[in-house]
Amino acid sequence: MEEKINLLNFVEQGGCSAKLSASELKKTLAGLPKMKHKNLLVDIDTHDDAGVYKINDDYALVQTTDFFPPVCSDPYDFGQIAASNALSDVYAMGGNVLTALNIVLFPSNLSLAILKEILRGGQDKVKEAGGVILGGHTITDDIPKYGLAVTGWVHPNKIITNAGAKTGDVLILTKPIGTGVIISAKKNNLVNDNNYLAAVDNMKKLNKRAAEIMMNYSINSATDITGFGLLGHTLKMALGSNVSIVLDSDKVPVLDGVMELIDLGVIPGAGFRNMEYAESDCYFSDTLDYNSKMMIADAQTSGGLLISVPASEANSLISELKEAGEGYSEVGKVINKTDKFVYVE
Amino acid sequence: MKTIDVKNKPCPLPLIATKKALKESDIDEQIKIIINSETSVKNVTRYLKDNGIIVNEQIVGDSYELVFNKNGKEPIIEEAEKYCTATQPDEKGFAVVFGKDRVGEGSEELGKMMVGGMLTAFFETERIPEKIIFMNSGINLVIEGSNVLDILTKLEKNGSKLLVCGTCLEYYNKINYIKVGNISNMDEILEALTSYSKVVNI
Repeated sequence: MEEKINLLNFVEQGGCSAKLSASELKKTLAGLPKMKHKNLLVDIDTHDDAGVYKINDDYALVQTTDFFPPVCSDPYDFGQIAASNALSDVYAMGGNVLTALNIVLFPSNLSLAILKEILRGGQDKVKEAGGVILGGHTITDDIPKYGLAVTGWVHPNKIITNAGAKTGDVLILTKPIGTGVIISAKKNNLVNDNNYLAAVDNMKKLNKRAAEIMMNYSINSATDITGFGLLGHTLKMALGSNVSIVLDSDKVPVLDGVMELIDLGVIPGAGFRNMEYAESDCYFSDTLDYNSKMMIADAQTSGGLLISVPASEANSLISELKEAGEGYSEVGKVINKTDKFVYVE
Repeated sequence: MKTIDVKNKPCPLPLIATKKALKESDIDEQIKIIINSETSVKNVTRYLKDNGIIVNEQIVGDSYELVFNKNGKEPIIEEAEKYCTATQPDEKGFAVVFGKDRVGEGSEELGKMMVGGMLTAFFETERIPEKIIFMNSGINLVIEGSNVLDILTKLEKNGSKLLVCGTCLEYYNKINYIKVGNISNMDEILEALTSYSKVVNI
C-alpha cells in the first residue's frame, strides 16, 4: 500500500481517552436489573474480562468485545493491536479462541485501502490465535474505530476468573506497562521512534502463549491489564477475590522512556481517572514517588496477563514463561484481606 | 507572577507546561495557568494537590485561571481590579458601533463605499477593535451579499469580537443570512458599550 496515513490524526489531539470512567459506569449499571440464567457462569458482577455461558458439562462459551479509536499511526498495526486486545479477554479466562466478528466504524470519505489494512491486521491476529472471522458490521463515523466481538470456549471446570486469588499467591505480570503514556506522547510528538515502536510491538503481541503456559499450573486467578491500568485491574482482582494484594512498584516492568515522559508531565487523563476510581481502596506507601504511582495507574491497551499463582509453583511458571520468550515479572503477592484492598510499595 | 496561557492546548500539554513552570520558578514566585479545557483543569489541579500545592481556581470569562506557588503557602492573588481582565478591558482597547450600513450622512453610495475602506484601515494600521457591534441597518454588513465580509473575517481572526443585534436580524428577517460574527442580545451589547472608555460610533 503506497498511501501513508497517520491514524492518530483522527483522534482528538491529546491523551484524554474516551473511555467512560469505571466509577461512572458502575453507578449507571447499578440502576439496571440484573439478568440471571442458570447457564451463566461468569457475568459482570466481578468485573471480569469476559462472560461465560455453559453449553454442557464439558463446554462453555467465553464471549467478549472491545473496540476503540486508533492507538497508533499505521492501519495494519492498529488492526493487529485492536484484535490482540479483544482476543486477550478470552485468554485471561483460560479459554481458546473460536470465532470473531469485526466491529468497524469508518469515515465515508477515507480511502477504503486503509480499511483493508486495518482488517488485514485483525485477520492476521485472529488467524494467529487459531480462530476464524465470520463477518462483521461496518457503519460510517467521523473517527475510525475497530475491534472484535470474540467467542471462545473453556471447560466449565477450568474457568480462570479474576475472583479466585488466594492468600499466599504470587502475582506475575507478562508484559511491561506504559502504553497509555507512549500513545499520548506520540500524539504530541514527544516520543522517539524506538520507544514508540517497542510499545506498538508490545500491544500487538497476543497473550496466547502466556495463557497456554499458565494453564499448565494450578493458578487461582488471572486477568488482562487494559483500560483500568495495573492498579485498577489489581483492585478488581482483590475485590472479586476478597483478599488484599501487595504490589511492588519497583518490580513492575515499564516500557523504555515511560518514566521520563511521566516526569515531563505526560500523564493521560485516563490515568487520573483510574487513580480516582481506585484510590479509596488502596494504600500507597510513603516512600512511593508520585511518578511511580501514576505509572501503575496508566491505562493500557492490549496489556499482559496478571496471574495469581500459588507460591510453590511460581518459580516453575516463571522459568517456563522465560523459556518461551514471554514476560515473567513477579510484581506482588496476595495476603489476607485487611484494611485496604491494594497496598502499593 | 508568571502567566502561562495553555488555552486550546490538547491534554497533556497543560500538565507538561505546569510542571515546567514549577521547575523553573523561584520558590515564592506566583504562577498563573490559564486553561479552557475542563478535563485539563481537573488533571492539573489534581496533580498540584497530590503534590502538596495549594491552588486558587477562578473562572474568568470562558477560561479557568489556576494560581499557585511551590512554597506550600496560600497563593497570592492579585487585587480584583487588576485581576478581572475580562470585564476591565485594557485602556487601549476600543469598540466600534455600526448603527447603520454606511459611514456618515450624505451620499448613500459614498457612505457604503467608505465602510470597506474604514475597516481595512483599522486592520492595516493594527488598530484592531476588541468589539464591533452591528445594529439596525448595520446588520447588512454581516449578512449574505455584504461586500465587507472578507475584511470582517480578517478582523475577527485577529481578535475582534463581532456582536450582531439579534432583534435587528429578526426585524429585517435576516437571521438565516448572517455570514460572520455572533448573534448577540442587548445585555451583551450594553455590557460591551459601557466597559470601553473608547467607543467609536460610525
